[in-house]
Amino acid sequence: MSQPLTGAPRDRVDGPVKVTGRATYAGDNDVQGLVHAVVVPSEIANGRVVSLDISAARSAPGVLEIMTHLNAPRVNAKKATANDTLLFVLQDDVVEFDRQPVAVAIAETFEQAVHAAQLVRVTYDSHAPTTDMALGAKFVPKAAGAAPAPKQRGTPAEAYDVAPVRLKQTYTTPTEHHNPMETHGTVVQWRGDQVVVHDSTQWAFGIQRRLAAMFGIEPAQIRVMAPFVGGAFGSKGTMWSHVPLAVMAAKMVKRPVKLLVTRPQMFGWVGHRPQTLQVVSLGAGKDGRLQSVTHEVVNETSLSDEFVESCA
Amino acid sequence: MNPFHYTRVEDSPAAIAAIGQDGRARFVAGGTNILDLMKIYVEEPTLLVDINRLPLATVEQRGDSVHIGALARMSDVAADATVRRLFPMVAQALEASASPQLRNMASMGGNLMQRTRCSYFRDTATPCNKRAPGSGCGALGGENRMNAVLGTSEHCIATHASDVAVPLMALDAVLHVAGANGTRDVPLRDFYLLPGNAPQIETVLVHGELITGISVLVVPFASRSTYLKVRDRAQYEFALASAAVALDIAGGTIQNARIALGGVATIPWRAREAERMLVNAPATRGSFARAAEAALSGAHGHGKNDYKIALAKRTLVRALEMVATA
Repeated sequence: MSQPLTGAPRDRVDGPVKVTGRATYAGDNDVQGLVHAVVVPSEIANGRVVSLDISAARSAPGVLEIMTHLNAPRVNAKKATANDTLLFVLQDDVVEFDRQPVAVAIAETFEQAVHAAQLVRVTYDSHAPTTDMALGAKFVPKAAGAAPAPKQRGTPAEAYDVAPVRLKQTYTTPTEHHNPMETHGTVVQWRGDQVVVHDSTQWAFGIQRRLAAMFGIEPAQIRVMAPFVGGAFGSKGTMWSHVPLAVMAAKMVKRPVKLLVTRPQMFGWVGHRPQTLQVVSLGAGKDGRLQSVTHEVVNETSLSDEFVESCA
Repeated sequence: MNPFHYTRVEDSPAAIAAIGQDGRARFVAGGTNILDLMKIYVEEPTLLVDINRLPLATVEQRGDSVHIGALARMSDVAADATVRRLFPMVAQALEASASPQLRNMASMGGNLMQRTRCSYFRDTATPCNKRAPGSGCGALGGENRMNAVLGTSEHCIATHASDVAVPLMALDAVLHVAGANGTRDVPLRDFYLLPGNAPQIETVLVHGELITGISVLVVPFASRSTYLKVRDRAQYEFALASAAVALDIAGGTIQNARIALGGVATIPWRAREAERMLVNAPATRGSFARAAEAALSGAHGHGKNDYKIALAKRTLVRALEMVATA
């Protein structure tokens, strides 16, 4: 025991390469023959794509393909868990959330792909989205999170009612979007029936498993590489829509594809911490001993992919 | 960003000639606003005329005025000893703006010409009469927490985003403008246009005209001035409400006052009635509160920005107290 386990400064294993710019992030993998994909996000949050005019985008310089729900490769829509409706993008004309990918421009350079994405003209049949938690319908979720806290012990309501000292407070937290320095991004290279996926992820094996299910191949055919992650705040612990989109794009143009989520798109399909309303009730005796503790949580959620923020 | 042409010029006549041929051409100096707007397709110029080499970057006292070249960078003006001594509120407004990196790039002329940050103006998926005349105003019944309560119309409630324009308005700054037909001077009070029926027309400049400089007459009591900016975070954020205040106080009585408000109006907002009320009034909180009531008497909220009326009053009272007790 030469050094204490805590209190002493420790060097991060990856510190030197990160601070000297030698760490290779997902987007740094400029493999041979790489082309670039840029997502066209929906301008509505609820409705349908009525028409897509891709003529100007398709004929813009350097463009290889404009992938839409009309020409995109199909994937197996077999749901593995609750939270994955949003993965099955470009499979139909339904728009379920703000900035949902409705097309992907694929071009020789990033700039050409950005330009082509802007030239895609989309018309929508738009319906009012429910975005105000106070106005939305409240319901009890089917499952209170992956690792729910114990729901109830004893009789807190009754104990609260008779407690000599009572405190009931409501707290709110706003919607919070994760914005790590490294935005999400994926580089996909098909080699025959094998695929290499460089992804900015904290969930490499999960991505391998999910992609295998979606594309109907064996996990052994998929190699997910994520040696470094440039921040995540937990947002890279699952798979988001752009990963299967990059795999689909690479299949479609038969070239390695880099798909980087731009900073404005970080408020789109890559999740967020939901707005919450939390009510804490404490009942205690005059001696300060707690007799009742209740913590109730209401959080906003997608109606298609139910999500419970386990904060109670 | 759409494809565009780029040219660099060496003097004002060349700049004016280059832009005059093309109605969709734009000047670029620091590029801190126009390049952003090009990236989000709000501005789609055919040609950018780079004016950075024009000899318009000096800051100097000329007789009873301070002259600020249009290409002086915000950071240089903020650091200028004369500006700091004569007009503390100008230096403070600059230092409260944007970030050090942006201030190192952004020019003073460009600052005055910057566009609103109203989120509907910046989102081409939404209606905006300023960006797309006749398309409607998304902010009026929408997310208008950041929007204006003074100088609005039924067509536009976008705030003017500049900080430094607020003290310059209070100081009666004069803009020097060059165009194809020669030069002219435009007082800042006449420069900005209320949105009215045509929010897309923001200033009296016509296409092809170039701001070459800003003159500020030395107002002796402006050495006792402040710029107070209230915002959602301490740095790198636009004002929810701001006040530029200069006071001339003798024996506890206000002799003269200059007041302008930012973050709450469609243009940098001079509060002349509030100034008049303070003259010969005691430098007390009561006087300041009455002046603040007068400054906001014509204000109208639009729901989520209702709070700005009270916030602007309190901001102004606090700024006046800061100057009075300094």
